[in-house]
Amino acid sequence: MGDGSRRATDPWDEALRRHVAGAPGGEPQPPRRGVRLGVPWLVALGVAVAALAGAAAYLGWVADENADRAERWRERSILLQDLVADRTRALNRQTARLNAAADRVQEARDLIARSEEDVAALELRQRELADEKAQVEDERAALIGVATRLEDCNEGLADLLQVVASDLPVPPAEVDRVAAACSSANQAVAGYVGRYGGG
Amino acid sequence: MTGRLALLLAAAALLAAGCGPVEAPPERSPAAVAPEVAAESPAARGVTEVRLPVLSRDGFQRRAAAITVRVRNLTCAGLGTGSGFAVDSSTLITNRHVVAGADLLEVNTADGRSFDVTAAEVGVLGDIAFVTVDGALPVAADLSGRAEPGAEVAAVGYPQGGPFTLSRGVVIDRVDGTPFDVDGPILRVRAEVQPGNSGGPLLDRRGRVAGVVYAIEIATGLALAIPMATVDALLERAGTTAVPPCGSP
Repeated sequence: MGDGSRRATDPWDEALRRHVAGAPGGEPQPPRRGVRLGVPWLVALGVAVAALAGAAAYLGWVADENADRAERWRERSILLQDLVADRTRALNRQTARLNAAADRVQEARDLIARSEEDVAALELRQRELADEKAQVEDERAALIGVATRLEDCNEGLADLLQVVASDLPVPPAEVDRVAAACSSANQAVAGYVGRYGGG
Repeated sequence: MTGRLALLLAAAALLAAGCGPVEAPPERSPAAVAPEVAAESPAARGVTEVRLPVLSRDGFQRRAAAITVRVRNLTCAGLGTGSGFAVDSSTLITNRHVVAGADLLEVNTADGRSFDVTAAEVGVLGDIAFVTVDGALPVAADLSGRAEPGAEVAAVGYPQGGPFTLSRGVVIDRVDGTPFDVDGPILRVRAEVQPGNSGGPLLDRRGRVAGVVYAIEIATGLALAIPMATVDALLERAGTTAVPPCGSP
């Protein structure tokens, strides 16, 4: 709403206009008096003033404290900035070391891989040689077996020859034993030749 | 008028409450927040102490070869070979039939060493034998292996007296060994084995000995192995005896 409409409806303004215009019929107005505040109002006003004073003091203290703390925060931020810079430099150094170590590890892995291939090849060759050695030892053992049987055969034949040479009767059992030994020796020789060749 | 005053006081109170001092910085030294890592500290040195992967691309076979030996047996009937595996620095396990009738027993390792045998005994029950050599065997086997049906295993040995081989396979089942001359449960394994593998170890996936290969089932071609638990039970039950001489059953 505008001011004009409020003025038109304000009874005080209407009475004033009538008084200025001297219009007859207007009621006489009582003389205006000063406002007197009671005790409760005074107490309330005092409390309000005290509260405002307290608030002002508190806010002043807060402002002062905040200024002090802001200064400490600023100092701390400077320290932390320096610290971050130091840590960044340290991190960079560590990163450089890590990269160098990673390069060394990669080189080591490559070397190990090559070494592993060499070792695998050597192991294979070692097993081949071990097998060749075992085969030779097998042949030697087989020869020992053959030799043992030939020896048994020879000893038996020698014993029989001695008996024959001394014109003593030859025990048939002894002949059979020597024949069996020589047969076994022949079989052993044949087995050896069959397995390892006669050359 | 009273309402306005109360409103004013409330606003002042709110203002005062919202205008407290800001938080003070912590008392700790900033340096303590993130202490610098010295280059000589363990953490820094740790950068160069990188754990490398397993170096051997076939460590399983390498270890299997180290524990497995070749047994040479010269008997009155001729020369025979088998396999075995070390259980300590001078003792190995093989099969009874590998050492039976021995006039001469010798042992070869995969790396080419040869050992004379100083003593041999066979299990009273089961196709098991213990052989003692006069030197230090390369590596003793881990005998804690277990192989259940379906488990991946490897039969290791010297088939036909030839070079060392490792044959991977799988355990088919665990059956009663009585029809196969073993008084206890045995394993049937689908793995390529031949004469000469006898006495060799059956290894589990971790390279531990789970059994002793001792025969081939003719009907199926499956390898037969005596589990280590059965070996222990047979030895505990009946012990060992001398190697039977050549020509004995």
